Amino acid sequence: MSRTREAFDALTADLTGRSLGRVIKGSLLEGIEARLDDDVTVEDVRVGRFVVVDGARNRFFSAVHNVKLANTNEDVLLRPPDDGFVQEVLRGTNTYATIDLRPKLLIAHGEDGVRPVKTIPPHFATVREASDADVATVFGAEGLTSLAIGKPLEMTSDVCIDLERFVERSNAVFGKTGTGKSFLTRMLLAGVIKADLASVLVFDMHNEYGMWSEDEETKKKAPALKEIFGQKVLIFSVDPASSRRRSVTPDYEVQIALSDIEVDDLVLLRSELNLSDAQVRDMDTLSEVWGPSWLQTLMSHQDAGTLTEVLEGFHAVHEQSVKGLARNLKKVVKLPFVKESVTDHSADRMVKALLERRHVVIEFGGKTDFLSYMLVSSIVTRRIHERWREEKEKASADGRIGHPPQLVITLEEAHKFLSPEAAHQTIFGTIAREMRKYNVTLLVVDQRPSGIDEEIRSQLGTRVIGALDDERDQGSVLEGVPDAKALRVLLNNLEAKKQVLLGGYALPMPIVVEVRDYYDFAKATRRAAGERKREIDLWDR
Amino acid sequence: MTRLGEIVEASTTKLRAVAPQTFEGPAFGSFIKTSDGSRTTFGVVAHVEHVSIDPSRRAIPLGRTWDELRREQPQILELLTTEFEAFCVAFAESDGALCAYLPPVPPRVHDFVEPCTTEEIVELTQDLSFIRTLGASGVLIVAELVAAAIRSAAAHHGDQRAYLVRAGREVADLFRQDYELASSIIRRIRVPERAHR
Repeated sequence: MSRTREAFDALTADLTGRSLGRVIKGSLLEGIEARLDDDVTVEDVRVGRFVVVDGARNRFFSAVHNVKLANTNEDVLLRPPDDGFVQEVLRGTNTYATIDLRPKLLIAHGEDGVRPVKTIPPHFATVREASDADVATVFGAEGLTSLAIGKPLEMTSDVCIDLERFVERSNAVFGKTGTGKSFLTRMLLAGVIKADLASVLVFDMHNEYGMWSEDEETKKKAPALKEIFGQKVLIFSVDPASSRRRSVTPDYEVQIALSDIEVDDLVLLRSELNLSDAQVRDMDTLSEVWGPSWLQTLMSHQDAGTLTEVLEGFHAVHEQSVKGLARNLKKVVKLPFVKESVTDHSADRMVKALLERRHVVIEFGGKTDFLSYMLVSSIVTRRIHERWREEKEKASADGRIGHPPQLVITLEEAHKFLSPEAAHQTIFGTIAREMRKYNVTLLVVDQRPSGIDEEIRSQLGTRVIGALDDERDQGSVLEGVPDAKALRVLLNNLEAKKQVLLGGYALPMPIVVEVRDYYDFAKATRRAAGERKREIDLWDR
Repeated sequence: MTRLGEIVEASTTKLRAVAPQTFEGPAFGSFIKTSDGSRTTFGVVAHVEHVSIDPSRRAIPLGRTWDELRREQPQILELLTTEFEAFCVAFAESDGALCAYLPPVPPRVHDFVEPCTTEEIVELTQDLSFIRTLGASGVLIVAELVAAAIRSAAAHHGDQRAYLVRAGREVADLFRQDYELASSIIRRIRVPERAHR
């Protein structure tokens, strides 16, 4: 008997999971219907519960997608019994309950590991609650490159995300406000950093990823990336005063030179800056003629009142429109971190750190200031785009593998960057669509998934989805996902604070989990990171 | 040995017996047995009646209480008799296990009828096929008969309520085409909820 055969037998011999019912109907297309055993109370079976179906040669894994009441006799419904005894007697004979299952994976006799289903279990196959061994078989155990993110409903073994696969594609964390998106995102990023699988760049709009973040509900301080990983993480602050107020000492202040700002960055800010189509065209013309310093040139002419004369030499631009443009762009020039010239280009410094496999958190001071947020994000990301492309092409030419390092760009309020209008014009759309080839992926964090371009959504590899209220959001997060209708039921039944639906490239099958406690996670990760660092220090000596 | 009666008519489906004492017949729905020495046949009492011993002469109203009648006309008891009918539901050969279906041959006339012991009732009613046999008996009061038999069986089972639920489900299953009938039987065997708790 082979080792795998033994493993299978050991697994299937484990009948510790309570029997729930038997398969009565099914098709590969529509899923399986099982009748609940009479001694199983329908109220005990929760949607999202992880179950197994024991066929003759395979064990199938599924979640409970629906629970239904059924009856054999219409007369019962006309005169429902009010007596407890009669109700109990009729349960199972005239009335019964069924559950809908969607097996996704199976493990077969004598085979190693799970594979996707291509068949269904036979009539009357037993459905039972999955045991911890089953969960471990499907979702693996926490290891160097896998992150335990939580546990299936009412179970004690971990559901693990395969981080190597996770960083290979763009991913998303969705959920309405207060569903713990930032806790989850931090956990995912900390997992990636700990496993040393990618450099991490975070555009941290609400100051949640640097040192500490405050739990909105408990007011407890939760350690963030720098607090966990120390010097491996660099904090860049756009608003150093705000950082100081929160007793955070940033590693660097963000400084942007006027010449760093390109037309594309401003196109992204169209609605923030009230730019018309004509003004966008004007910017293109000006930058063509004046080169990289076009913005500086424009502003100095505007300040000096010489704009009218200068514009006489242009054919394609309208004077009034350009004057309006200059007025609108004043908002950008006046931003405190935008300088005429800088000694230290923040974007370059960040790129360098990221190429050295360090991690960067850009703090924005907590104001909901989309102008700063989007401008900086756009400039930095554009620079990364250029450098990673170059580095990758160089590395390919030299035959070097694993260079440039994998990079995960974390984007909060992602719909601002990836809306259908913005996605085709801005750098973020390009990254989401094609930068996978150049080792750059996005981690999109958003509460309005319906605001994100459809094509970008379809590129998302792994999705972590918390509770969503809006119909459109619920529909759009699952768009293009197989079995979206069935998953929608799970999504509808998530508990806002604790549960998320996981699915996609880094997981063997979609599943609802109760997210693990962040504080324990942070503590354990910090301890592990500390130990690892000591080990490395010893080696260095 | 408690003798409940003596068989006067028998077929493979039912028997008729006369009680030794007038007014002292078995209870409706109770379990009885009769043995011919090698085979024991088990049945459920489906009908009990007190009649005149002479079918052509009915009893007439006398306007007296039983105390007065016993004093003044003691011969009256001798003119009356108690008879009962039972449906066969199972049998056992002397050396074999219990078979929960009809016997191959009827019990003999003049064999005695006795009540079943608790052990016998438990063994006989553990599987619920007696409910099907009684349900198919074709009597008009099938709901009453089935309910009475289930109640009398339940009294001998440890967990009475669990037994009644199981039997009730068998009834619901058996009469699934006739919800009215099934529910009338189930209502007749239900445990009053308050008394149970």
